Amino acid sequence: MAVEPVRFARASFFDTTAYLLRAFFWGGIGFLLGSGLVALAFGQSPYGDLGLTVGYLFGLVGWILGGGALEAWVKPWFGLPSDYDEGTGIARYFRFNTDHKVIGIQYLWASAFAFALAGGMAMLMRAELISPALDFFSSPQTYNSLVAVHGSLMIFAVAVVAIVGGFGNYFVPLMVGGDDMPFPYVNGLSWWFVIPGVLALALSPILGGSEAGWTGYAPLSIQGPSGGVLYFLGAYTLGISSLLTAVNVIGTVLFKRAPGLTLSRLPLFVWGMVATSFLNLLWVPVIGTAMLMGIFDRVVPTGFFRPEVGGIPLVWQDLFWLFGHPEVYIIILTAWAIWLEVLPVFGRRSLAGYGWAVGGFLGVAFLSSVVWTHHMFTTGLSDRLIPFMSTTELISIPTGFVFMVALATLWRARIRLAAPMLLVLMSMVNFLMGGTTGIFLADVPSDLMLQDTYFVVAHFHYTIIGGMVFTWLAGLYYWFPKFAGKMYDESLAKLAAWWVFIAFNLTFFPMHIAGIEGMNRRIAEYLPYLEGINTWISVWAFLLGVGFFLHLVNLVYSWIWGEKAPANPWGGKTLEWQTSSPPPHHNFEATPVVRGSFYRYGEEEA
Amino acid sequence: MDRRQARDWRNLALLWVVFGAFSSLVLVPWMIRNYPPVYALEGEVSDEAVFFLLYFAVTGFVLIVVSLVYMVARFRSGGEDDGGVGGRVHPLYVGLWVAISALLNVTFVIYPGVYGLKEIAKSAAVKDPLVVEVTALQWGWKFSYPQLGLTDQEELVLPRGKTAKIVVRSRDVLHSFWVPAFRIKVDAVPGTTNVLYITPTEEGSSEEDPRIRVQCAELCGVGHAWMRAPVRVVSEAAFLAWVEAQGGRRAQVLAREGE
Ligand code: HEM
Ligand SMILES: [Cu+2]
Repeated sequence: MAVEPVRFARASFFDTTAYLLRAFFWGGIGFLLGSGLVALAFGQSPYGDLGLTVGYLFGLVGWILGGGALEAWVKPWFGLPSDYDEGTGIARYFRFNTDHKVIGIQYLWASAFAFALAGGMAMLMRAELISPALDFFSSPQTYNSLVAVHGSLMIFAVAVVAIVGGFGNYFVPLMVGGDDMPFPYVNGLSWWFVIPGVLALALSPILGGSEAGWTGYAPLSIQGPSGGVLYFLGAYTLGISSLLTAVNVIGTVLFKRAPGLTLSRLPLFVWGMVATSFLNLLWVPVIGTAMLMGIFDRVVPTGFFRPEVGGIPLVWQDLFWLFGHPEVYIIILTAWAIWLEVLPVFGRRSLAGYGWAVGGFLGVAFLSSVVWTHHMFTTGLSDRLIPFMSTTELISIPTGFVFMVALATLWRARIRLAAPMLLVLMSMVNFLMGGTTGIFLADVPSDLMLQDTYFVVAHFHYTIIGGMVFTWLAGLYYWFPKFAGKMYDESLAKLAAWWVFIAFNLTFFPMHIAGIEGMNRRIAEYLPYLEGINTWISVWAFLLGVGFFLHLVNLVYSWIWGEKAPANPWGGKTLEWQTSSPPPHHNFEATPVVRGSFYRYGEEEA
Repeated sequence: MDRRQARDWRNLALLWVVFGAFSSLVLVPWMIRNYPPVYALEGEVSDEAVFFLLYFAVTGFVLIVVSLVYMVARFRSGGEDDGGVGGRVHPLYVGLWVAISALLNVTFVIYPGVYGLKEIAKSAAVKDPLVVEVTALQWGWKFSYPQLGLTDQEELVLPRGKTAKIVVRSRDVLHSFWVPAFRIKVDAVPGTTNVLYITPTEEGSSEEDPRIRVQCAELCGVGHAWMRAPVRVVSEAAFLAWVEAQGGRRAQVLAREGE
């Protein structure tokens, strides 16, 4: 059975989004119910910490039921009649659905939405920073809460979601030749945690904002206006989504592989997803616990992180970074994996060093769990400095394997510079810069200077935008023919790729210098001697924003009006290319059988 | 190895030599010359680490990007797809890559890592340092000199050449004590006390160079950006005059220094 291609014009807006609108409505009612109950029972403000927390929980349940889980899942539990229709065409993306491909697209649009939202906030922040004084916002509070929301959304709803949730859901089952994930209902549910998390974070400024940045350092984060509790709630919810996805990904790889697909033939993207999923499985519960402790400190109140009552603020940092550092590799591992998928396909050359690449992924995944204290070098924990400096330096060895394999694969290749390839190469250059500046932050004597300055802001934007967002774009173009069934516009894609590459570097490179000159991070105002460089950064940041918009235009335009895509436009060898574009409901007309490596070209072809 | 491959290797090697020389002989020295001035002995250790790492980091970055650009330009294919080419990694390449990256990393841990930490720690062994108790609070700084009987000063004044033991505490949330011109920083953590040793090497003040200022470097709420305090590094004599003017007493620690 072939699936209907997406038709945007035909379906009416309300038919398409009926479930989504109902989800919002029920979510809203749930929220009012919960916070109203708190107001009645405890005489507290419905928008205080407790009111928000209880309201949010009720709202979350209302939202999930409203989205279709009521008919699809709950009614059958009670033996009630239910004729839930998962929908066709575009309507599928806005209701409860159990098809991993639909869920993948749901993740993609949700994180694109979060990216636009958080990106817009970055533009406002840069508008404030054009000049030294506070002139764009009326209070630094606004800037501080925007920093927190921008950072939290970009990390918790974009960086760890877009590739892992989007491409991971869509392509892992296809690439292993399976018909779906092992727990489709759990998978369907996982997506419904994303939007509430995004909204909780994004709406916190209305209630005074969360003040403590995306890292939520206690005790600042457990004081202050009630908007602060939304940081914990939002981050916690997004964590649940990652955890459920991790279970499914690992299950898919264990149970859904096509005959002949041994582990030693597993596509690299799948390896990247496996490594990432184990990290999520291991560490999301840790940050979940931290988030709950934070909520309790605010509403109960306990005093886990409150020094006045014997709590230890630094324990928050340990719990946060125990997850938070593996997280940055959760972000980057899948991006590397996409590099190594794209390079052989567009280089038309055998992947050089498959085993080294897998070893690199696993080595990084393992080491990433034992480096977290490098975020805490200035906190005075002197006994930990040397051990964690050593592990941190060490991690660049398996990281290097990825570059080693990538460069060897390009050597004497036959490179076709289509947009996905171009963006992967750009991503390699950008990430290399981020990795290079990481050396200075791993080394304690230099980090004591650079920690918490704009050097760090530059460093992590290079690794995350440079490494992950560029690769996300590369992946979007690479797989666009597959999931949209259409071709994108190549010239516009290349133009927009060069645009963001240039604007990105001209925005973020100078931040290194600002940091060395003495500009600390998370400030709405700075001293006049830093004005020139900041004005420059702001102007290029706006142009960078325009560049991302060009990519969006291309993708949306092509999805509607693009030419029909063939099954395998790039000559890819992995299994997702061996079925129609877009793939039928259960992926393959006949179960594929794997007979050799996916990465052999030329005379060695299997 | 066929002739074309030999030529590719030769070209690449040539590019490496040219760009490697440019990076390590021109680019990095230029960056180091333009690095902002440092005002403390311990900060010099931090700078030394930065400079040492710059040679490897910048040069490594340049060489890899040059290789990438060369390969993309050289191995570009405009023609029809003919099924591609095979190939695998050469053991020599892998061996060299792994060995070099491991060697570099071990080196960096030892020098400037552990070595730099030991250098910075030497200041802790200095006898009779000038004690400055720093209190960070939302949103400001207080400086007390217990040996001199001075409390709650609004300005950090230090004599040049004398090691100061900076004792940092917080009254509320996290803060971080940082003077960009001194380089190294330490967090103010509520419930604990952290110590930083600073030996100023040059005279100067916030008016002359805005990098000589105390700047809170850990987000602490609304006033984080303006949580700064002026700093002055002065001669021993000027310092004593300042202490007297503030109503402090002339203490042993300084008297012994004056010879
Ligand atoms: C679209 C271009 C972007 C611009 C112009 C931009 C700009 C900024 C700015 C001005 C800050 C605040 C720095 C400070 O005051 O300390 C910031 C912080 C941050 N950004 Fe971005 N950003 C962009 C995209 C991204 C992306 C794509 C990500 C990750 C996926 C990201 C992650 C973060 C994080 C984690 C923070 C730190 C927040 C915190 O300090 O708590 N940004 N960004
Ligand atoms: Cu502060």
